Amino acid sequence: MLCSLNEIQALATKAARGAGLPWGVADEAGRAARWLEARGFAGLSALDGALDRLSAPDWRRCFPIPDGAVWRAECGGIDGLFAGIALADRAGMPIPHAGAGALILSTVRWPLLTMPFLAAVAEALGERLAVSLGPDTPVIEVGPGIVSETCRDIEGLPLAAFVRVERAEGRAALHGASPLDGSIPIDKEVYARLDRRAARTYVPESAESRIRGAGGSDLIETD
Amino acid sequence: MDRAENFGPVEDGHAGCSLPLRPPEQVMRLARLGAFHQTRLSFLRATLRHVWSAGFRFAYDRWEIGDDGVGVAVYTATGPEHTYSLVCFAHDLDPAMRTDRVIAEAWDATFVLYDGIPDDGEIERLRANAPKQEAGRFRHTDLILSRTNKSARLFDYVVGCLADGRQPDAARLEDVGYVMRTTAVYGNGKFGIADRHRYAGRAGFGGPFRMEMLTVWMIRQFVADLVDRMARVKGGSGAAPLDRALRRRLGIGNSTGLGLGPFIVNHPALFARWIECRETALARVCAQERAPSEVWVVFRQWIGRARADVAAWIVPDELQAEKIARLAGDIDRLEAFSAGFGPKTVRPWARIRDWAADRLSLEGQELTVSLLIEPYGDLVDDLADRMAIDDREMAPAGMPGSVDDILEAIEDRYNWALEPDYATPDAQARFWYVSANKLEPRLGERWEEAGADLELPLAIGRDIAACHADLRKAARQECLANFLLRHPEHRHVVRRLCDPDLGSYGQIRDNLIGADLLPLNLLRCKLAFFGATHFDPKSDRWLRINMFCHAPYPDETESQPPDDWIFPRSDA
Repeated sequence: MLCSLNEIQALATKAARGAGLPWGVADEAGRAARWLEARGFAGLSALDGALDRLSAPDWRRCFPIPDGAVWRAECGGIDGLFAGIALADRAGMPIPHAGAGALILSTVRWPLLTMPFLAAVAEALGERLAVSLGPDTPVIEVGPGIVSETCRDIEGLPLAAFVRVERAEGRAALHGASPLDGSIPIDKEVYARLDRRAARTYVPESAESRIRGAGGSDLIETD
Repeated sequence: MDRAENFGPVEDGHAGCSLPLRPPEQVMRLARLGAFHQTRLSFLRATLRHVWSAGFRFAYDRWEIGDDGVGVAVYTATGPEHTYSLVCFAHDLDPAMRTDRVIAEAWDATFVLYDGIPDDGEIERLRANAPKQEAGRFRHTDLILSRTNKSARLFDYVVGCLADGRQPDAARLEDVGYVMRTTAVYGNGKFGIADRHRYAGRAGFGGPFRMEMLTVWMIRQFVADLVDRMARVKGGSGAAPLDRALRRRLGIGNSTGLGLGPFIVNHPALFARWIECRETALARVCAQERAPSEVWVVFRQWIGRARADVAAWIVPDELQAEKIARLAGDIDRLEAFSAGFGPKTVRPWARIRDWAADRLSLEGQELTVSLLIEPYGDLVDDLADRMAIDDREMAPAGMPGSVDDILEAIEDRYNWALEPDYATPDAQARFWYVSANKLEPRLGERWEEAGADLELPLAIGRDIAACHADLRKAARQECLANFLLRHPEHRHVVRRLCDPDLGSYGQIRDNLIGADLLPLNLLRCKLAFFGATHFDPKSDRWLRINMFCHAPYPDETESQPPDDWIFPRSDA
């Protein structure tokens, strides 16, 4: 089905909230999914996958513990969305990887979801970042508002053993996936799954709310 | 973190000079926001000014409405660079199905504003979807989606009169104000239509809700044409067309419920910009040392026109009727107070503003704002083009600063949020939610209804207070980023507090879940920015309004001025 970006963002936000995440975190999920889908990456599908784990009561344990040059999560795997949020919040702060070395995120679920936040970090720093997931995967370069086509390789990846982030070498122009023009094709089943998650944010009508006319114009208007 | 950046002195950032604006503690109270009236900056007025200045031409592309009033019509609006088409589907609606509720399933007419001119294939695609509204699917070529219902009070009466070859009674037209009303106008990506950013870069359509306003205005033309057409069908050669002056008295009605309410809370940076521009316009006018005599003539004319308009603003709602009665008195007092003023009066507008703040009701004060701005189009109209903000794809990275910094900011600037005792039942009496049945925002009673665990994040004051309580338990030097790792539930509040675009006017300084909340005020404020008039409350949470009442029509761009109608001239 064809969707607008605003629909994609609203769906992702409500689905994340429906999965039990707080509104502020759900807002970040909505923006990230929109950013990815606008560039032709399957952001909604990745979010749907991530929400399987994040809907558990101990979702807080999926945030990274930003300690030194290797970040881990208490639950054993950092969520890609949460990794992005933590990285973006620390943009511009003196963090270990700002020097010579790299920052390692150990065991990352749905690393695609980290990329929009790295683009925001790149914008804040005015620099490009290089992301690698191992010797067999091409390096992904991330600049302000842009990510290289090599990001396609991690599109459906549910788990990466590690994600290494460092400043990019070289000054060659970054040709990234450009925003799509027009409506965005979305997999119907992914949409339906997220829509079911979103439905958990809706409050069923009750006898009390009906009586009170909660929304106002619950009348037949004929005049 | 330098909080002063976010909360600096309130100035006219757009005028290139520093002007004192009314302070947010005065402006950002819900009771005052709910007393706002349209101004020159209102979106529908700015839209018409653009349509005229850009030289838009309007034409009928097709009119395939049968004698039964069913079919399709297409109107085109061609500007310097783009053509837009209003695709109108007229239906034969069983009166029993006619409901203004958003969850209705059938309407008298349905509309799509289309980017370009649709070919036959596109018309058929829209014919299969537009009549279904929310249940249809749309594409990025479809800019706005809307629908209207007839006013049963007036539509048949007007058609009947015209069919008999006579004009309808002006007083009866005025009493209702419209023959059709919209029950929703959807933009910005809803149901697959175009995201706003697709056209926000086009000249004249960067301002908020301009495409929506163009759509409603063109719908008004369709409604007028439909009335004439149905009268001819009924009355044959004896039918009369609706007199143009009478026709201009008809706007497009609208019924608005709580669905509109959360917008200005959920878009604080955008809302802040609207308020800032309006306050800037007022400040620019009030900074005038003296006013030439021709401006005084215009100002006094507008007082008279406003008086006539307020006299015609008759509503059954007792509370609003009282406010209107007081407003009528306020207009008389304003006229008396300024009677001795003239070209020699120093800083006349600032004096009127300050006098009004002391002596008039909130309705009176805010109507005075509209009247002070009215004669100064050359001075303020540029602000109408600055009322949008650039949408950021991602929030800017970086949560700099410490717990100490943000604590200080909250205690310094958000006292209003900390004041209520949220432990008392009244302070949290309500909760906002999205209804599963209607998929629309609703307001519930927290202590009597289920669902408060699913409440929307509109309780800004309470949430700031909760964040403040946890901040006070944290180590003062802890960095904000770490605090948010431990407390992700406060993220939506901290984002607001740190939003560099929020300015001074981003927060409504009232408890939006308190027992004494009057949700109507949220709706009225937004509708005033749209340019709606004749607010007619039907409960504390929905109201009827009129849009484009007295305005010229698309087929009058050559013969009428674009922006001299909001309060009608006595000769109009």
